[in-house]
Formats: sequence, C-alpha cells, structure tokens
Amino acid sequence: MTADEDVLRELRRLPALQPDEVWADRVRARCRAAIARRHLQFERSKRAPFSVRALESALVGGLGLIYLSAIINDVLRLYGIG
Amino acid sequence: MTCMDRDSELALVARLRAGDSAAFDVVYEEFNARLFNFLARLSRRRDIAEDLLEETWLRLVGQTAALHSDTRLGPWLFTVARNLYVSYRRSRLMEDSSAGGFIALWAFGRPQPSPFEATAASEAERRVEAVLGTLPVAYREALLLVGIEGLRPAEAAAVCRITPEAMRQRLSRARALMAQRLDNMSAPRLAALREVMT
Repeated sequence: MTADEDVLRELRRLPALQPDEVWADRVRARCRAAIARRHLQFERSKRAPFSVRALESALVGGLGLIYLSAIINDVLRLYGIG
Repeated sequence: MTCMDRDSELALVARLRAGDSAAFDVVYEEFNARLFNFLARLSRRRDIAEDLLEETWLRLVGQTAALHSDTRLGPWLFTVARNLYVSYRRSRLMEDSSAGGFIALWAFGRPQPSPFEATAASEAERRVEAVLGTLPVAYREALLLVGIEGLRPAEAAAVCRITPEAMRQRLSRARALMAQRLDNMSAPRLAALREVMT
C-alpha cells in the first residue's frame, strides 16, 4: 500500500461531525418556509388575470419612462440645451 | 456516505424547481451532514461552519427556480459552500494556521468504544485532524472533497474553479505533504517506544 492510499484511508476513518440538532431543525424549518412562500407567490402570479399582469407591466414601464425623461431633462438643462 | 443515483437526482431537481418542499427535505437529509463536515474541517470552527451552511441552504432555496434541469446537486452545493467560505476568509482575514481547536469539532454522544479503542482511535484521529488542519487551505479542500466526500477529481476541480489536471496535481501534493507530516508526527513516538522496549 502506498503512502497516498494510507492518507486517504486515514481520512476516511475520521469520525463524521454532526451539526447541532436544534440548529439543523431551525435551518430546515426556515428553508421550508421560504420555499412555501416562493411557491405561493409563484402560484398567485400565475393565477392573476392577464389584464392585472399587463397593468402591472404598464405601470412599471410608465414610471420608468417618467424617471428617464426627468433625467434627460436635467442633463439637457445642465448643458444649457433645453 | 450515500450517493443518490442520477435519475433520482434529476427527479429531485425537477421537484425543487417546482417548489416542492418535500424534495428539499430529501436534499437536506442527503447533504446537510456532508456539507457541515466539509465546512467544519475547512474553517476549523463549528460556529462558522453552521453560519456558512445556513447561508448555503438559503442560497439553494433562493435559486431553486433558476436551477438547470441537469444540475448536479452535490457539486452545486459544495461550490456554494466553498465560495462562501472563501468570501468569509477574505472578509475576515482569518488566521488559518491554528489547529489547536480541532477537538471542539467533534460531536458529543456518538457510540462509545472501549477505553483502549477510544484511546487508540482518538490518538490516530487527533493526529490526522491536527495534520489536516496544518495543511494549506487549497490542499485541505482538495483532500476533503475527494478523500472524504467522494467527489470525482473533475467535480472537485469544478468546485474549486481549477482545471482537472491542476486538481490532480494538487491532490497528489496534498497527499504527499500529509503523509510526510503524519510521518514526522509519528517519528518521535516510535523513538520513545523503542527506548521503552530496549
């Protein structure tokens, strides 16, 4: 047996370390809650009628346009163009 | 160490992508202890390992919908865990050379062997843990991923973001260095034993 194999054998013999059980349960519960929340949001967004989703998109797009035009206006004013 | 077959893994990934929390439980059972071992032996601190592991799971939960259908869960999770450790280390400039705290890593309440076995085993285990703790992080993570967690060298290379050839070289150097340090540690004990026998 080579020294390399000895090293691997010794490593595999190391005892398995265990995380604290209370901690592990808390983390699992937190993750499960997060998954459930995301799933619920996904389902809700799927259930929302097309008109609501279109309105949401239009609203976000509109606000973005207003913001962008305000920036352009300020820049033009800054350079004395507007 | 258990390894799920590829079909089960693909099915689990599909269920995770669909937001199935029962699938998450299966993945958690399969990998939680393995990831904890990896992070605890990498960081040499239980509290840091737990913090990083919690973050690893939250990353998975946050990205379930974005997982590729052919994702390999083991390498994915070990990559995230390893990256979090690297970030942690960078941010804290953690002193990595101390191996004194390794006993604190061991769990309480595992089955107790006879006193002689316990002495012999713990002596050997402490020796290996101590030497493992003195290795550079790059060598330690290579040995942990391949030697203990059973990842293929190519998978470990992807986790560490190096080429498979570089991983093979790193593994070879890590094993040689560890063997040399184990020998160095054993030599004074053998000399003392010979002295007693003569």
